Amino acid sequence: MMSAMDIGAEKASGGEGITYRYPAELGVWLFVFADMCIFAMYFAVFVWEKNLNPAMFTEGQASLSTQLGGLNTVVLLISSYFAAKAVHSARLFNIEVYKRFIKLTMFCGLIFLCVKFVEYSDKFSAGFDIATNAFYRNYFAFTGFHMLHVIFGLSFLAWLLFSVKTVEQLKEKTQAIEGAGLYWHMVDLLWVVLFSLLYLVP
Amino acid sequence: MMSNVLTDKLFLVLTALLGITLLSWLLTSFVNFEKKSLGAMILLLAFFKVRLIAIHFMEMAKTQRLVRIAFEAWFFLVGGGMIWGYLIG
Amino acid sequence: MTERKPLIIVAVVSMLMTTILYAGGMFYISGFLPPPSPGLSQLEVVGFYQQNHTAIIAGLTMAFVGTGFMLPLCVIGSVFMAEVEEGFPYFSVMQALSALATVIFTALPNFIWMTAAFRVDRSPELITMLHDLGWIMWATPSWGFAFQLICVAVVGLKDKRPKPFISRWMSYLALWVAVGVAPTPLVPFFIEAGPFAWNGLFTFWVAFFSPIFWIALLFVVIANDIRAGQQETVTGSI
Repeated sequence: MMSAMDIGAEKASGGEGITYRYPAELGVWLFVFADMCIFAMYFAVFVWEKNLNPAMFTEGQASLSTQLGGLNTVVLLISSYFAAKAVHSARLFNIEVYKRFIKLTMFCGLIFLCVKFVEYSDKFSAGFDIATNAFYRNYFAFTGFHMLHVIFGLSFLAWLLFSVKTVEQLKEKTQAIEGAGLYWHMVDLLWVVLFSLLYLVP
Repeated sequence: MMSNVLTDKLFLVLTALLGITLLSWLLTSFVNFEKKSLGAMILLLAFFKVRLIAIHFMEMAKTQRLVRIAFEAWFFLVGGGMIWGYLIG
Repeated sequence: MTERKPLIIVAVVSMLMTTILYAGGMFYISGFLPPPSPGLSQLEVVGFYQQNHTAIIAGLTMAFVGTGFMLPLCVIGSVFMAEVEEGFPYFSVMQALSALATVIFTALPNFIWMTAAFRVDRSPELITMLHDLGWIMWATPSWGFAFQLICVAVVGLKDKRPKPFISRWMSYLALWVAVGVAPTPLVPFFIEAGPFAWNGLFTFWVAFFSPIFWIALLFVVIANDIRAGQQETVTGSI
């Protein structure tokens, strides 16, 4: 079976037979892996401190809104699907479809930020902030740092949306698009773990 | 064009991911399990989702072998370590 | 193109000077690094300054002299970056200016701690205040350094020559280091020890050692490049 990826790779190499090309640059994979290692330390710190003070963490978790967190998980999973579709259509040099999916991805990312804003302002008006206790310190620092990743991801996507106007530009940028997609999936993947750890695990 | 095999597969993966998210939410809200085993189950489901994302969305299977080994090691070490740390606490 | 080898030698020697003077002064002589806990009582802080009075001033002086030696590497980096950029070398200039900010904010806290150690018989509140001021100034402003790395990475990724001035994976790793130093603005929120306090896992251990790791790796890569280049010229002449 010849997947669409191979077809894209063949076109990219000027039709001289199928040259197998890896998705995204190796450097992006390195960045993603290193970043995931920093987040692994976050998870470890959270589990460690939860064990030290289970009562405080249970109480803090009860004040979080699982509905809003769950909504954000769903939004981010869907945006990740759109990003995968955008990468896929970029490989087929289908610029119209590509642009539509990038816009959808960005739309989902913006919804994520809006929900995050509602959630944070809820917590602030309830009198909780980053200095309240260890649970809120971890909650605000980890989700805030994750939100920073979302904002950077949105700016990469915006750059890839506005700088691609012709099919030639799309061909030039295919690897950059794969890289941005990879980064976006990492943001999604880390949120999946953060959501389970912060909101769900009793 | 839209009924490509690959796109269908991605959509199936998305459905699975959303289904697992719903399942883990239902587990916390409506099922009475022992606390620790429930937590471990949710973490296990989370890392199953993470692997689904990595394999199907990130296309981990198509990269260099070293990258694949590094990521699989991350999943098993971090996932296993978290569940272990959670259970001993 | 600028002759690379003499510049690289200057950069290596000056970074060695920084390492010896800064690490020696901060870790060994004055004992400021690794950082003390922000949760220390007033008595403990004053005691620290009284007991190590001379060693503190000597170590801090050594360390601030060492910070100046970071500049040659940064400026030489800008020289190589400017060869890539077209028109006004915006990112190179920005990198060099951010380097200045990094050096200033690394050196300035030393003078504040020196002031605290200068008259150890002054009131304990004032000594604690200077101590805190110094630590917050040292641990918080990492974003100048993050800007430097982002500039290096942007130009490194733009470099389409067959032999870019740094390899592409080093550019991506520079972006990761920029992410690694990013949490330091959280330092002033926490008066107790914890992962985000000024002696914390993320704001000290990751934020301080990931740049050092990157710079060390940079020198290894450059040394390998030079060795490979020499072999090429040798085989070329035969």
